[in-house]
This record gives sequence, C-alpha cells and structure tokens, in this order.
Amino acid sequence: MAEALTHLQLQAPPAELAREPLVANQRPLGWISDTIAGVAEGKTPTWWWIAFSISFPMMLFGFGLIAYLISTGVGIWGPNHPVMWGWAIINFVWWIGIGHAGTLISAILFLLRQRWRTAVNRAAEAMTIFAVMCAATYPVIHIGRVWFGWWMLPLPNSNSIWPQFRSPLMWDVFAVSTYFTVSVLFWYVGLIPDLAVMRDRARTKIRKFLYGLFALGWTGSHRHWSNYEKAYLILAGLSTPLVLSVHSIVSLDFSVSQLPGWHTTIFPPYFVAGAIYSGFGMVLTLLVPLRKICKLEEVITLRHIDVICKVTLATGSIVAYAYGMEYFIAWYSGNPYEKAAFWNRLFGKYWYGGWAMIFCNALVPQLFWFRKVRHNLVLVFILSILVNVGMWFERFVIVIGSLYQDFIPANWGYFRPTWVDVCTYLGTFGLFFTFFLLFLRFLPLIAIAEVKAVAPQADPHHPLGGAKVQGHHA
Amino acid sequence: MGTRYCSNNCPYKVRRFNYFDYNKRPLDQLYKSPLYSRMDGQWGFAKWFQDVDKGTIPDQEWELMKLVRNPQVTVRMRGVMEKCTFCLQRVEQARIAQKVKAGASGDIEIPDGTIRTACQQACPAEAIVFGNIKDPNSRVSRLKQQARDYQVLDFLSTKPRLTYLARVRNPNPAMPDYHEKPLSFVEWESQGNRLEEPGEQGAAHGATPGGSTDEKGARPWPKH
Repeated sequence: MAEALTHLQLQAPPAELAREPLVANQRPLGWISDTIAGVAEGKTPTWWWIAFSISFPMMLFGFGLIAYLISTGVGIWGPNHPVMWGWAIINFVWWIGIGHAGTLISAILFLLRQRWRTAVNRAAEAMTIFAVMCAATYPVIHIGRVWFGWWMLPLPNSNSIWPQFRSPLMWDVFAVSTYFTVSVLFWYVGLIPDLAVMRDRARTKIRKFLYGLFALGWTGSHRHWSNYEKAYLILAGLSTPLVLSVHSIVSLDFSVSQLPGWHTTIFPPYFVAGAIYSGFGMVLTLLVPLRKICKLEEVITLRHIDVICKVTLATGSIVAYAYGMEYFIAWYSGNPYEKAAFWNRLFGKYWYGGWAMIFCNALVPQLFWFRKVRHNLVLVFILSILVNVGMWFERFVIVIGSLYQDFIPANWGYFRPTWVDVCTYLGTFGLFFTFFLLFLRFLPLIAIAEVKAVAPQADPHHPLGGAKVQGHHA
Repeated sequence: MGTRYCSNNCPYKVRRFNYFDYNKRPLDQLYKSPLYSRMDGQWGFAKWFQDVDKGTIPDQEWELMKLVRNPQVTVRMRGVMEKCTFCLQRVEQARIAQKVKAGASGDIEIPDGTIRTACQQACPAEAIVFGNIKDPNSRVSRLKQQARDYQVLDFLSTKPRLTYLARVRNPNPAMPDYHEKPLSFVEWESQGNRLEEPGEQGAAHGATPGGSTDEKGARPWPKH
C-alpha cells in the first residue's frame, strides 16, 4: 500500500481548470514578507508625504470646525425646522456603512473560507475602524449640548435617571461602540503574528521595542498558533452577527419613527446590503490605487479585484431590489403620505438626490456583470467612487428627502447645507486618510502570515508547492 | 441633550430647537463664536469662563438683553428643545394660588376658566379654549364632546390633547354667509383643481385643508 503511494506523482490540473493563484508569479514566501513589510519600512515615499500633507491639515481644520460648533451651537450647520437632521446624520450613516466591509471580509468570509480575503482583510479592517471613528464623531457633536453626551451611557447620573432604553438612538450607542470594540480587537489579534514579523525585521531599537511590545511575545510556536487560531475563530464568530446588527440598528433610528419614508420594515436588510455595498466600494477605491503605488499587484491580484466587484454587484442588486420594493409598497399600501414621500424622492425639490441614488446604486453596479469592466482598473476605480456617491445620496434622500415635506403642508420647508457642513465632512475625510496613511506607514497593510498560507507553495498537496510525494519533501 | 429626534418624529412639527444661544445674543451675532470674538477688552472665551451667562456678549448689551425678555417665559440655552408648555407658568401660578386658598380644606381643584393661556388671551375670535379635560363639565370637555371635534392626523394614534372643532359653513345659497367653497379637499379636487407642484400630491389625499406656506407660495386652498 505504502509502496504504491510512494510512486504516486501528482499532476498539475489541466490549464482550463486551474484557478488564477492568489499570489501571482510563483513568488517565494520570503518575497511576500519582504514586499509587504517593505511598505512600512525604509524611507517614507514622496507620495505618502504629499497625501499626508493634504489629509493632516484637513483633519485639523475639521477639528477647528468642531470647536466652532461646540462653542457656538448646532445652528452653524444647515438643519432647521422641519429638517432637524442634516449632513451630520447623513455622514454618520455613510461612514458607518463604509465601515461594514472590513468586518464582513475578515469575519464572514473567514467563516465561509473565502481564501482570497487574506490579501484585503487587513486594509479593509483598518478602513472599517477609521470609518467608524469618523462616523462616531458625528452623533456626538451633532447633539445640542455635547457636554451632556455621557447621558447616553447607562450610568445612573446625579438625577438617578437611566437613559431611555426604548429609544433606537440608545441602541445605536451600544451597537456602534460594540462594533468598534470588537473590530479593533479582531484587527489587533490578526496583527499579532505580523507585528512579530515587523519586530524581527526592525533595524532600530525603538521600532524593535514598540513592535515587540504589541507583538505580545509572539514566537510562532505551535502553541501560539493554536491559541491564535482559536481566538481568531471566536472573534470571527462574535463579529459576524455584529456586521448585520450595526446597520440594522442604525436603520431602526429611522424606521422606528412615524415619518413616511422612514417608517418602513424593509429598512434593516436594505441598510445592511447598502452598507456592505458601500464598504466594498470604498475597499476598491482604496486598494485599486494602493496596489499600484505600493507595487502589490502580485498579492492583490486582478482576481481579488474581480471578486470584490462581484460582491459589489451582488449587494448593489439587493439594494436595487430594495428600492423597487419600496416604491412598490408605497403604491401598494395605498398610504397617501407614503406615496407622496416616494413621489417627492424622484420629482420633488430634491429630485436630483433620488435620481443620483438610483443611477449610482441600482444601475452602475450592473456594469460589473462584464468581465471586461471588472478587469479595467481605471473604470473599476471610477465606478467604486460612484458607488459611494450614490450611497451618500441614498442617505441624503432618506434623511432630508423624508423630513422636508411630511404630513402637514404648513410645516414644509427646505434644507440647505452651510459651508461648515461641507467642510466638517471634508474634515472627516482628513481624519480618515490621516489614520489610514499612518496605518500604511507603520503596520503591514496585508496579513503576511495569512497570505503565505494561501500562496500556492504553502499547499502541501499542490503540485507546485510544499511536499511532492506522500506529504513529504522528496 | 439635543438629539432633535423628537422633532423629527413629531407629525405636527410643533417643536422648536434652540440652535443658538438666543437667550444671550442678539440675532445678528448668533454665528459668532466666543472662540474668536473680543469684547470688553478680552476674548469671548476667557470671559465665558468668568461668567457663562453674559460671557458671550458685551456687558452693556447683556444688561439690555435681560430687559427685553418676558421674565415669565424662559428661553433656555442652546441645545435645548422647546415646545408650547400650555403656559405652564400660569398653570403653576393658579395651582399655587388655589392651594393657598384651599388651606386645610383640601379643595385644590382649580375652577374652570381660571387659567387662560397667552394665545387664548390674545385670540380676537376667542377660538382657543383651555381647561381641565379630566373634568367632564369644564368648557373644554363639553366642546370636545361635540361631534365636530377632531384630532389632526388622528390615525397616527398620537393622542394629542389639543383637538379642533370642524368649521361650520352655511350650505344654503340664499343666505348671506354662503360661500362658493368646496367642503373638502376631495371635493375641491373633483372640481378639476390640481396642486401646482407634483410634490404636493400627498396632501391631495390627506384632506388637510389649510394654506401651504411653501417657498413657491403655492396655495392649494382657494383664498377666502
């Protein structure tokens, strides 16, 4: 028996059945470490300084505007009766939506054993964390008296009053903070083996000390790996429901209310699909230029881009279906207010928002049906930006489009953003990109250990890698 | 703390939010941040630390501002949601007066008609009635028992305490107060009238008569 197996030679699969490998060009494992860690090592490249010198002042300007806001009043923003929520809530939902791709990629795709996730999960999780930071800024600063924001925490305060647990805004506090905590933990646990790699490669004492501190004494022993994999699996299991719950609860902020256009049972799944759609859009927006600039085309291959485009297509189609269903129900329900709200979306004063939303979210992703589109990186980049433009307009239509004309015509109004609204939004971009650039510069932007595990060479049964005969090197 | 969620949810949109320190600043200086305004020879912010009330405007103006306000009605600071309180200060005044008067007798029920809200007092048509709706014999309760009493947007089940009496019109063309007016929005529409803006379609089914205070000034209801 053993004799027979000794002579068994594994053949490479026929060319037409072979999948494009996840690491191109048969790169050796050492090359993977060098390339990925190299992005965070060596001299800081010029493009990084240029990008940082734009994003950092933008962030500071944003902080300045927040100081202006807190010292003066929320009135410096656009909202006014009857549109009491404006760009702050739009941007909150928009950013938190973007923050959905990271955990979906790292947790749900991990449980579903989608091996391609390894090349994108680290950057996507970082994106998630920074996007949630941008998002979480808004609800805090949009309230009238920021210094009482801690009332949202379930601490019996000096008045012995608990927060109103029946309010979806309250649920939001728990949902977002839980999501942020678990995302950070998950990201950090995944980073540990790679931090150890960075530690071992460090050339200066301070780098060695800091990476070593955060690597928690990782040696790569079997026991470490065994514990690590268990912890990672548990965190993936914990994160999975959170991916679905956070945006469901954000959607309840709207659907729990009475307002036509908000009071809809379809909101939770519709918001989750939209969030994943926008998150994947942002992943594309970031990774398509990044893989080029950091010369990572062989690790983040066209196959990766292709798959991300397909997920965008799938979730975009769910969003398109939800739009259709919303209109159908508005008509089918016979509720005149509901009908009016949805009529206003397309033919009201904010008609452009409604059409932008349908164009960018329902029509644009349909282009991803075509392989040629998915492989045209310039086009993918442009479309990925349109995805998030569309998702911004979706929230615009939902928040402002529903509020400006509701039940009683005497209360109808109009909303205009102020320059502070616009610049605070730009400030959150500054915050996001500042943190993202720092991440690129100091941490490995791709999970080195995980990519090695899915490289063709790592598979002992693969004819081109690992063991050739009987699971052992010949 | 000022999330303004209640206002978004209010189908009547009766709430108003203090977006600025209206109680402290003249209307033309609302946007001025104490972080970059100087007054009385010091920065607004430094002054604010000394006295949070008058910190954001010059001392003299503050003295004047205080005199302008109705001392009975407080406009609270920025970040607070305001709403009609049914003249709570008058209700409290009457309540205290009644308690004092009752003394040990325990008769603390305020007689109907004692409290008159400011709007009620000011209304020349005397169209506003305020009173105890728990007392079936109060004037307001008796009016509420009429068949023409209705709640605005009653189907939303918000149970508003404030209700309206439907308008009474004379349908007899021979009478002097007869008007060539439709009795309902539905009737008005059936006469071939249409709202100017397609966006106002909703109101067409809602039968909520009343002029639109819309920007374009579209007035779906014929002027009286």
